[in-house]
Amino acid sequence: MNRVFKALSDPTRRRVLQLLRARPMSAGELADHFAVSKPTMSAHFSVLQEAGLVETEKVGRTIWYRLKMSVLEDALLGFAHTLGWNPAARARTAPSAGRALKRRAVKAEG
Amino acid sequence: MTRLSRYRETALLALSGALIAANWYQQPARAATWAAMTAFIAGMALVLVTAARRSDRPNWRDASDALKSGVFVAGLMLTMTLTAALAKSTGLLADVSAGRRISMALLGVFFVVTGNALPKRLTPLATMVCNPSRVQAFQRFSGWTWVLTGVAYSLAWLLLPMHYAGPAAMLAVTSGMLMIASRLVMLFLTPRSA
Repeated sequence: MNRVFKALSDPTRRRVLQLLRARPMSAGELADHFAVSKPTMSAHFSVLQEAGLVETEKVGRTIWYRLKMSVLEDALLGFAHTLGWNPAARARTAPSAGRALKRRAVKAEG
Repeated sequence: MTRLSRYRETALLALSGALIAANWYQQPARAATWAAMTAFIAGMALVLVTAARRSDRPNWRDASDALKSGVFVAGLMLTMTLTAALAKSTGLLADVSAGRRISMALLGVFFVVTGNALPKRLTPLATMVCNPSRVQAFQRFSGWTWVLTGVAYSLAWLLLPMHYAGPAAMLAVTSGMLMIASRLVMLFLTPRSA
């Protein structure tokens, strides 16, 4: 459950989940909605996958991202979105904040 | 998986067995009922053993987990019912409806748990006959509907007077099923490209 809370704590990841609510999307389609680098986006995807909130499926040469949220997780996403829950922003003053995401981004790049 | 969750079904079945023995001792006139319940417990034990033996096979893992969950819920409901029957026969519980209320509310909780997991069961995109976004919307709708049905079912059994609780709970389940069924029909009637 900690992974789910961690995944939902970031506004970008929440936006990804909201986009996926409408329909399954490819990585490129999703990335078009955000002004962040590809490795950062990839790191966000991996956090969502680790939390079990999205699933990837390869059809032909395209990798599709699909929503895989239980009703409880869906409700949590709704609450987090409504309340604007963003502990990551609050913790950004701490030097360790965002370091993990950067590490993931570097890993995804490499 | 923790040690506790691994043995919870076995523990529940053992507890149910002990409760049947106690009830049989208290009310020997209802021997047929207790014998039937013993046979039911034996059947569930058999299911549990089969599930445990085949859980290491890749194709059986999910089915085995589902069987264990089913045995757990059935065992929980049986335990509640038997505890209430024993409490009534020993004079500890004047109103036997409390046991029935709790076991039916637990059934509602089972609906909630089942509905909660519904949107997580994904069909591979390549094998879908319907539009994937509509299938996803249907799964979310059915998950939410079943969860709310379970909540309504549990609340009806816990809060309403006994003679209203049964019909109200049935109404909740029937409405939920009808809503899901009608949405399913709409899903199949809509072309994949829509």
